[in-house]
Amino acid sequence: MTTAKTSKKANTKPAAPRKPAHDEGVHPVARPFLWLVSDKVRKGFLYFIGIAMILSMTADFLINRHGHFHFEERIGFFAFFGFAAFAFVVLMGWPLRRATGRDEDYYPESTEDD
Amino acid sequence: MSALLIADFLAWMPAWLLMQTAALLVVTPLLSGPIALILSRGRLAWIWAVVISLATFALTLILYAQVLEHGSVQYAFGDWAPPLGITYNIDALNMLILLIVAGMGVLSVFYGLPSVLKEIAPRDQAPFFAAFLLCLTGLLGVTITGDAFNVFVFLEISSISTYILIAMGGKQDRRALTASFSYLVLGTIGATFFVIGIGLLYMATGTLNMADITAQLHLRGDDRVVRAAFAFIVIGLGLKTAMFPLHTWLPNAYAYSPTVVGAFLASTATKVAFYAMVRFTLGVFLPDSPFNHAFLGFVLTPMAVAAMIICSVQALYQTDLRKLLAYSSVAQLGYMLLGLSIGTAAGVSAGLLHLFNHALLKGGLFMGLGIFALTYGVRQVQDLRGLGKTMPVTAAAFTVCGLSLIGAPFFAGFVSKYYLITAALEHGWWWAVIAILASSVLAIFYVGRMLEAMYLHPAPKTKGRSKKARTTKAPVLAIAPLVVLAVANIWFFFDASLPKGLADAAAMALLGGGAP
Amino acid sequence: MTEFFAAPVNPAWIILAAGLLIAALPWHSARKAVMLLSPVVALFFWLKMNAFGTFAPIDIDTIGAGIQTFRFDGLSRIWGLIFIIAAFLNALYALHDRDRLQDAMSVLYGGAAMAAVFAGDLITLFVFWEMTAFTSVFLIWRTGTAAARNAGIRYLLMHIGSGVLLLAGAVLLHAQTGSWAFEHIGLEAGLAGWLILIGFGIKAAFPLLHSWLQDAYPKATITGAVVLSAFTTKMAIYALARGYAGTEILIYVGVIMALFPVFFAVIENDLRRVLSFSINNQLGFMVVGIGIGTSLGINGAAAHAFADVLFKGLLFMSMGAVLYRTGTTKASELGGLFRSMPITAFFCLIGAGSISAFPFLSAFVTKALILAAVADEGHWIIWLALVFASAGVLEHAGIKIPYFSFFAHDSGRRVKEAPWNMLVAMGIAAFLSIFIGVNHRWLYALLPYANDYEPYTLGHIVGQMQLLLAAIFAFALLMRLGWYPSEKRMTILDVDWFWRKPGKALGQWVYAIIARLWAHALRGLDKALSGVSAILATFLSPDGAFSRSFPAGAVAGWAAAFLTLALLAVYMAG
Repeated sequence: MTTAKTSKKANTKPAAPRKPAHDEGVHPVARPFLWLVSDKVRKGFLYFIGIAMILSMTADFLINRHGHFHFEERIGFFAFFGFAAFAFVVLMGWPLRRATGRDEDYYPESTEDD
Repeated sequence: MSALLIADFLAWMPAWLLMQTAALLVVTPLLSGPIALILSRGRLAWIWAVVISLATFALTLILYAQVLEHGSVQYAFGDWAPPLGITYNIDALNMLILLIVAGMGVLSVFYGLPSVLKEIAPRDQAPFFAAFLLCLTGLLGVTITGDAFNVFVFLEISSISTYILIAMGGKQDRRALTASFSYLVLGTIGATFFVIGIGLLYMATGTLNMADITAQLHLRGDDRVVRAAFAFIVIGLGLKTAMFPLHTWLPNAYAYSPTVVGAFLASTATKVAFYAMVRFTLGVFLPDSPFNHAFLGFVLTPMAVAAMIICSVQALYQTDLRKLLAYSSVAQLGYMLLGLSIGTAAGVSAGLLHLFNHALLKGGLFMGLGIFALTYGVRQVQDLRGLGKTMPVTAAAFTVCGLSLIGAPFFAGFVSKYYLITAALEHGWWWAVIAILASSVLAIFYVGRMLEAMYLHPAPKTKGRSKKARTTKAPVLAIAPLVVLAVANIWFFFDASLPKGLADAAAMALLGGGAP
Repeated sequence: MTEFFAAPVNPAWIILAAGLLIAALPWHSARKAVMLLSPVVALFFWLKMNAFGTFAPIDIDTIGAGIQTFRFDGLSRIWGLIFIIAAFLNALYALHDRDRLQDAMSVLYGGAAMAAVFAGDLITLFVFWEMTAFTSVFLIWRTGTAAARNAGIRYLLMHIGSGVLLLAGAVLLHAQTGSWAFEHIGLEAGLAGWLILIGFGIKAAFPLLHSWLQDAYPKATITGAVVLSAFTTKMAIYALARGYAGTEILIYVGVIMALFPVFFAVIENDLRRVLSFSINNQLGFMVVGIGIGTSLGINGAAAHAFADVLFKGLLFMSMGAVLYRTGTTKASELGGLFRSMPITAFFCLIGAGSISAFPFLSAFVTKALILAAVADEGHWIIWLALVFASAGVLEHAGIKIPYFSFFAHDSGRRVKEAPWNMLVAMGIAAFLSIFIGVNHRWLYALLPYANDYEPYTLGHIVGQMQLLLAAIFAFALLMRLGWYPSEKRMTILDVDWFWRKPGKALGQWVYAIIARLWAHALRGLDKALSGVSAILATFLSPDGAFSRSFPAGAVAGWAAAFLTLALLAVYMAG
């Protein structure tokens, strides 16, 4: 365990600085995947997924999606709709939280929770 | 039971037995009574009574098979043709009662040994079984006979032996003697009324054969003699049935008699008298005559409802367990009388069904109390405390019977109350439905009181003695019949075809047509 | 013996009997063995069923109908199977738990749900409908906190109410039709139809009737939440599919159900509560399918319910494992757990992918049926709303659950991987989710109606990938921009606020007023009653006038008087 720990330390940076040594207590199965949370991967992910999305949209030029509705067959319909829907759902979280969010022990009984 | 099976069964029976079943059913216990007396020792007499009651029950079943096969069975004594000789006439109506009486007879005898050995002086034990067999004879005879005067004779046989049986509780509790005496007086008055009625009827029709009386009444029409006969007969029988307010003999008689007698009488004696009432009002007298309507409507109905309510409240007030059950019995008789007074086939059928179920459940309750009394000397409601733990089997069976008494779903009592309510609604008697429900609510409370004491309270501390008490085991002989009754109370919820079939057929035969 | 094995046996009895046995068995390992084996035996009897029909009816002439406890047909077949599978997975998942009461109750609960699904009449349905409530509430109570206790009581009240509505509707329906059979009911049945629909709707967590779900499930025990997620709501979906197929209002109810939890799930911090919202959202899809009511729609609802039991169970299991090891499922306190629980994280990702309908995972082949059914009927707005909701599913169940627990910023928690039995249970659920996704023909063959829908067309795959990739892109972008509402510990209000706050205050006020009035009334009543009871006692108590031992002579006179009365009545008559 300890040897593995020191060797891995070099190529992974702690995501949260306040934490104990980054790979301390890491499950052996998880070791090969620690690169997934490296800063590079984290930053690159946005571009990676963006490119993947664009690729999936360009596929529309190559194949003919047959839908039940004509609007469904527009180029990149699902991508645009998906992006808009997702963004809407997430952004609506702000006003919704302001409206319905309360202190954690709002209901008297929940103080006994956990 | 398939029809084929019954036919096979009957074919397998010897012919003489089939011919004489009806007569044997009454003669067997009648002649064995005196023999029990000779046997002088309690256990010996008990064995004899067991044999005889089993034989009687077997005969009843054979008779039942015949009734199922042929619809009804006629038996003429000495081959004298009906109007002259005494005939036995068995149809669905009395078959139902015969089954109850013979069945409860068997269970009571089995149940009875521990009770008799403990509660009755040794020298009285053999006479007890003799009286018991005679009482059984009387009850079967009243039910089976087709002759009006014969009803009186058997009624007296059963009554006189009942006075003896009740008085035998005197060893335990001297009040049994006064209870027996007051029942004797009232029973005699009832019998006298009844025999006066029969006399008047004979005067009017010139015959004692029930079927013949009905035929003569058809010809003769209605007049004052017939009406007076009717009034005497129904009031005489009303006394025997413990119809409210003529029930005052009943609570003491049940409460102070030996426990086995209470159980047997509660499930048979008043039932047989009620049968006689149904037989006379609807079977002998013409059901659609105006005086019949007047009696059912203006006398019987208010009394039935009053019994259901007042006696239920009274039961609620009792501290003595057996009196509690006795008052409950009077209230439950109110249900049966209500069924009769509704006067439709559905109503009568529901009343008879309730009779059947009530015999099962009240017999079970009295047996349960008897076992408690035998083992722990339980007499009062508060004595039941903790018995749910100390006597779980008896308590569970007792609970089943109690729930059946309330009329809880999944127990037989529910079925008959359901049919009674349906019958009342069909007849437009919504107020009767309210009375039934109110009385059932009261039943929840008086049964609940017992169950609460049994299960929710710890057993009382008895210094040093509790250990001894705990080791007292309830006799298996006494528990077995109780468990049989408890199972029957559940069984007849899921499959009520036996009593329902008989009750429907009986009601249909009495009131003619009109699907129940 | 051979005849015994030839006779059709209701698999539910096996599970129910096992539940009773577990309650009685004093040995822990014996209990666990029964728990694990009973679904296997039940599966044996399920497999043995080679014909549809109603078996072993019981005639109860009291209620004038036959009780049909075992109806095996296209609809109950698939539900029976998934409940058997769920019972097995639950047993495996709870193998480490030493809790006799909870074991017994969870098995009885599963058995009751199964029995309800096989019920051929409304009475049987009602009995087991209520039984699921009474057994499952223990899975909530066993958490032992005051919050769980109160939530359990709220849960029980709503579910008993559901059963009462069902019974009332059934009685009304019986009065109309004279039959207790549980067949199509619909709103044509009038009041009865509405009562039963609302009764079903409570258990199916219809909007405004849903709060028990988000209230109680997150407060259930670790294993309890997994068990709960499988049975109650899916049983309600079955009941709706049986009784209300093609009821149009369900389309709109379902759409609202699919939509509104999506928004709440974004801001919810407790991940088990997020999953509860997710249940609600998935039920919405099924309810829409039932509302459409075509064979494709019902097939879709059935298939999606089947898949949902697996992937939702899987997600609840993974969150349960997290809770078991870390003691919390609050997103704000988790993160980075894949370092210490990588296998759990992997299975969770399978579950998340399944529910998000990634191609070759289960929901891809099941949700498509519902969407196709909607599109076939030309409901384009509904269709768009469901696609919208699908993007929402990806948000809360596909991304939020795994991301905030296993990835995101490292919480620094270093814990042990989940116990082996949990891992195996999750593994089986994950395997089945993939199996269905790949081998969809197997599932389609089990559906109530013949099904020739083909989900794996290039167009469908590309369209779905566009939707998912764009949504994930949006997530990455919003995170980068810092526009994603960060996870905060807080209480999010739901409709239950109405009865937990103003309702409670009102209740307390009314109670105080009534208590005061009652005290006054009692005082008055007491006076009146003591009068009445004194009178009653005078007559009816053991020493009362009616109960005394009468002298025989007095009673004789009484009898004579009564005879006179009877004579009068008889003479006066007509």
